[in-house]
This record gives sequence, structure tokens and C-alpha cells, in this order.
Amino acid sequence: MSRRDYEIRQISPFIWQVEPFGEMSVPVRIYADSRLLEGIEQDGAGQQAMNVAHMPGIVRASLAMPDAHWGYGFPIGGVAAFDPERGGVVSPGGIGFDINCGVRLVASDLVEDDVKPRIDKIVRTLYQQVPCGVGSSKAIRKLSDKELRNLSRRGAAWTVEQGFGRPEDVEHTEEEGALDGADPSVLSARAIERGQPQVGTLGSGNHFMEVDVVREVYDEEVAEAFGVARGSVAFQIHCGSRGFGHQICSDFLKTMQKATSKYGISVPDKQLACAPLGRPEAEQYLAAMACGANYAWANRQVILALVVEGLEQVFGKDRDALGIRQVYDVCHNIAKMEEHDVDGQSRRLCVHRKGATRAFPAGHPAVPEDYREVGQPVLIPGDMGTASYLLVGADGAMDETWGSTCHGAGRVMSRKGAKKKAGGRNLKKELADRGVTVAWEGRSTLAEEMPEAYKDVDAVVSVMHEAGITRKVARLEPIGVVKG
Amino acid sequence: MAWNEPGERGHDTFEHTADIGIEAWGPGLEALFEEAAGALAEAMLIVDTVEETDTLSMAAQGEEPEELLIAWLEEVLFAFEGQDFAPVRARVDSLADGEVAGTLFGEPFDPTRHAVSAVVKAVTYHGLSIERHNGQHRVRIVLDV
Repeated sequence: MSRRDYEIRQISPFIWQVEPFGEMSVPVRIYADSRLLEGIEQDGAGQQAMNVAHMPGIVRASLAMPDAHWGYGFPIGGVAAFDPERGGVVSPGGIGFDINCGVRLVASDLVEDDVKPRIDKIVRTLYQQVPCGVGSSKAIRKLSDKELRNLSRRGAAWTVEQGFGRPEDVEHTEEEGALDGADPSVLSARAIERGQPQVGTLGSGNHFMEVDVVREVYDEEVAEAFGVARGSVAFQIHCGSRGFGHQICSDFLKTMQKATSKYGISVPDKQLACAPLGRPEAEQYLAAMACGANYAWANRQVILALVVEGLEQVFGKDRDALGIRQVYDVCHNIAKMEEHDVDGQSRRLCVHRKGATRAFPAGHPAVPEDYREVGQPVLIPGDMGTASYLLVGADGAMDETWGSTCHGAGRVMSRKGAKKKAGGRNLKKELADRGVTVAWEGRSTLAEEMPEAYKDVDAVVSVMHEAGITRKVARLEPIGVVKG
Repeated sequence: MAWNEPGERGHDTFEHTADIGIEAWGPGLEALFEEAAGALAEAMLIVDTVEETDTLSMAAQGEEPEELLIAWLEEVLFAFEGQDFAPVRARVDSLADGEVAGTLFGEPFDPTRHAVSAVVKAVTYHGLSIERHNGQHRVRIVLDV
């Protein structure tokens, strides 16, 4: 997008606004510092945020987080809320193909000195425990049709009943690992078929498992509440709903192309096809999307159990002796019906978070009891050579962003560009020199996911910290990475 | 967007920050569909490592040509992801009245011999439009990876 088409002005130190023009019904608000803003504008993300501002029933503004980058439909890093009483819609393009792609953070009593001498073995073990790469499958036996339907209704809790992990893991999961309203009867045969063999698999692309050391703690009180101590070792799992979620999104994009014309809706991009909330197409999509979300939580729950099993093997101690406990699990590709305050009135809105994380503050009833006094943990994975962050939701999130914040570092370089830049370099050695041991599956994954392909994660989380949306709690640095 | 000479056909990729863009062109919808399928196969696999020893039949439906093209490409994707068939190229056998039928050429996927280029999650509708000019057809498609 070029500056000629519109005007952008700074309305606060970290918010930039584009006033509505043409068919836009609300402004665009971009959370960024001036350097991140430049990247968002040069890339297609700013234009995509403007496209979202055209959609029916959008409330207040189309939001872009500081990690926003060019996606399809919504920008990645896009947040928007739609009011069902004012023609508001749900759009699969505002969630993405990888429904409930998300991150799980697991703390432990291990310290760097316990782990560093064994890091090669740990990375190799995690790589063997959790299948990754193209069409990865068979982490556990293939589920029957009936089992998959139960899993998609009940999410993480169902997998715990099957022997994967513990009930307290589920308590420390967004929505307790299952969205209400999941109805597998709306799923296609192909979605079921693709879902059956893939539970407990990582997939590919930017998905990973990571061994981290908690290097910095910014807020001792909150870190203690989250059970995270400086110098301790933590584990991250980043993945989603695999072929099951991808198929659900593909199936409903077709439904929505028809619904868009049936309801006389005009959108600037076919990927923004949508249906008014309350209409059958919208309700069926939400029921199917909930199945996809629940699959992703079940997937990460099984992966956690596989990771724990691997660590128990390496250290010859059980989970309790290792002090392994789930801090939290967040999703960053989702739409949810939530209560929010609009001009002093409580309204039920459909909040789309595409590459954005829920960030509810202290006291919110959706925050697990263990954390309600401090706020919801928010997990922000960075690139594999730099750092990830643990944040906590703040009051500003409810006032400004529908309880949402950024989701990661955000890409800045195309995959092709990254491969070109990596040409002839030994990335494995470069990462080893930075103290990161890496194992990977895909031929070009390592190059595509190189640190330079991403924005500065420190700058991204600082914007949301300074804007009062989320506060920094701890900084985690990787020592071991498994890439899909 | 520069137009190729009438009758020419081919495919290429274009830059996208997070995902992969493919571009296909050809004198008619049949050629366009075949080129787009070839571009998708090349996005997923280093096709030089795959031999054309097997075939797989494909069929898809869609009211608009754009929807039909997406449905067709989803079949290519599903062949690889769901049926472990490594594709090299596709042939359109019939295309009319919102239905396409065709044949995929390749062989059963063998991870020890076949090099995966990118794991494509899905075919998007982002900015999708089949452009027509002097009998030439052209389309750009963003793949989610």
C-alpha cells in the first residue's frame, strides 16, 4: 500500500490510525513503533487490515498487532470484533487454515546445568518422540471415526482420559482445552479422514518444540504465580490442528463463497468470504471451527505427554521429580463469542484473532483460578535463535483490543528470500555458536525459519507492554529446537 | 502484470512474506488448470526427484471457474497429504459445467528418495481472480504454508 491512498496519523505513542475511506465502516488501528509500522505498511498487512474494516458489523476498529504481516484474508496479527445484532459476521479468513494454532509452555525444576550437558540427547529424543514434517502421523494409533468425534467435542480432557497427561494440564489451558458448541456432525468425511492419523504430531513450517532457559524475570510476583523461576528450564510446543483444521477451513471457505453472495455481502477479497452470525452457514462454521480448536488442544496435550515421556527417559526420573508442570496453553488462530464493553454496554461479540493471542487481565472469570489475581499468561514465541516471552494480560487489553495482544515475532522475509539469504551458510553451526542445538525434518525448513526472517521480538512485545495491553513477565532463550 | 504471447503456457512463483505465491498462465482454462497443478506440485516437492510411474484420477466441482480451480488444486494437495501420492504434473481430461476431471502423474511418496520443498497447508482464495486477455488466461494464487 502506498501513502498516496490514505492518511495515517499517530493517535498515541504506539497507536497509528487510518480513518475510514471508501467503503470502510471503521478505522484501522495499528499497534507499532515507527520502525515496525514501516514494515507493516511496506508489506501487504496494512492493506489487509483496511480490507477487514469493510466487513459488515465490525465494531470500533480493525486492529493490527505489532507483529502483523501479510497473510491471506485478514493480516496475520489481525484482530476484529463483530456484533451479531448489527449484521456482524464470522469469516474463516479471519481465523486461518490452522485453526487454534497455538503455544503451550511447560515449566520444570530443571536448571541449565542439568540440561546443557544432555542437550543433544534431549533434542534427539524429542525429535523421535513427536513425528514432524510432511503428512506426519502415527504418534499414537490411528483414532477410529467415533474416537475422533469424541475428541473433537471434548478436546484436551478427552485425551487425558485416554492416558495422556493430567487434569491439571487442562485447567491451565485456554478454555480448559475445549470450546463449547463443537458439533462433529457438520464435518466432511475428508476432514475426519485427515484428522484420524495425525493426533500427537507437530507438522511443519513454523511449528516447533523448544527447550528454553528463563534468562530474565521482569515481574517477580507474576512469575512466581506462573511457577517460572530465573535460570530454570522450560519447554514450548507450537503447533495446531493439522490436516483436520486445514480441511475444515477449506470446506467452509466454499460454503462462505456462496453465503457471501446469498446474503448480499460485498468484501474486497474472496478470502474474506463470510456469513452473518446467527445464519446457518455461520453457526455451522463455528461448530466445525470449535471441533478444529478442540483437536489442536488435544494434539498439544498428547505432544506434552510424549515430551514428558521423553524427558523421563533421558533423566531417569518421573514427571513429579522433574517438577514438570504446565504454565499455560494459548491459541492464536480463533474466533470466539465473548462479552465485551462497548460504549458502556456489555455486548456479546464474535472476536476474531488471526495470529493474535487472548490476553485477559487480572480478575477476568475466564482466567484460571490459580492465576486470576495476576492475569492470564500470554506466550509469545520468537524466532529460534533469539528469545520468546511470557507476558500477562493487562487492563488496557479489555479497553482497547478486545482482550488481545501480539502472537510472535512476525515474519519479515519471504521463505524464498530466506532460502536465498541462507544459501551456502551452515545455519546449524551458526545456531550452535549461539548456544542452540537444532534438529529438523524439512529440507528447507531451517533456512526458511532462520532468525533474520523474523521481526525483532523484543520490539514487538515492548510495544504491547508500553501500550498497557500486556506486561512483560519473563524472557526465555532457546538452547534446543526441534523444527517440523 | 505483463501478458505472454497468445498460446504460451507456463507457471512460476512470486514472493509472499509468510506463504508461497504461484502464478500460472495458458491459452485456455484447461492449460491454466494444468499449469497451476504443476506449480503446486513444484511448491510441494523437488519434482526432479519424483518419477511418473503412476497415475491418480481426480475430479472436482465448483460453480465459478475460480472455485473450480481451487477445488482442483485441493485434490492435488490431498493426493500428496492424504493419499501419499507424490505428484509431478496433471492433465485435464474434461472441463465443463462446473466440473473438472483429470489425471495426476507421479508415484507413491517415498521420503527416502523424494525431496519435500514445502509443506503446503491449503490453497487460499486471497486476491483470487482469473484474468483474461486476448485469449490468454492468467491467475495468481497464495498457498498457505
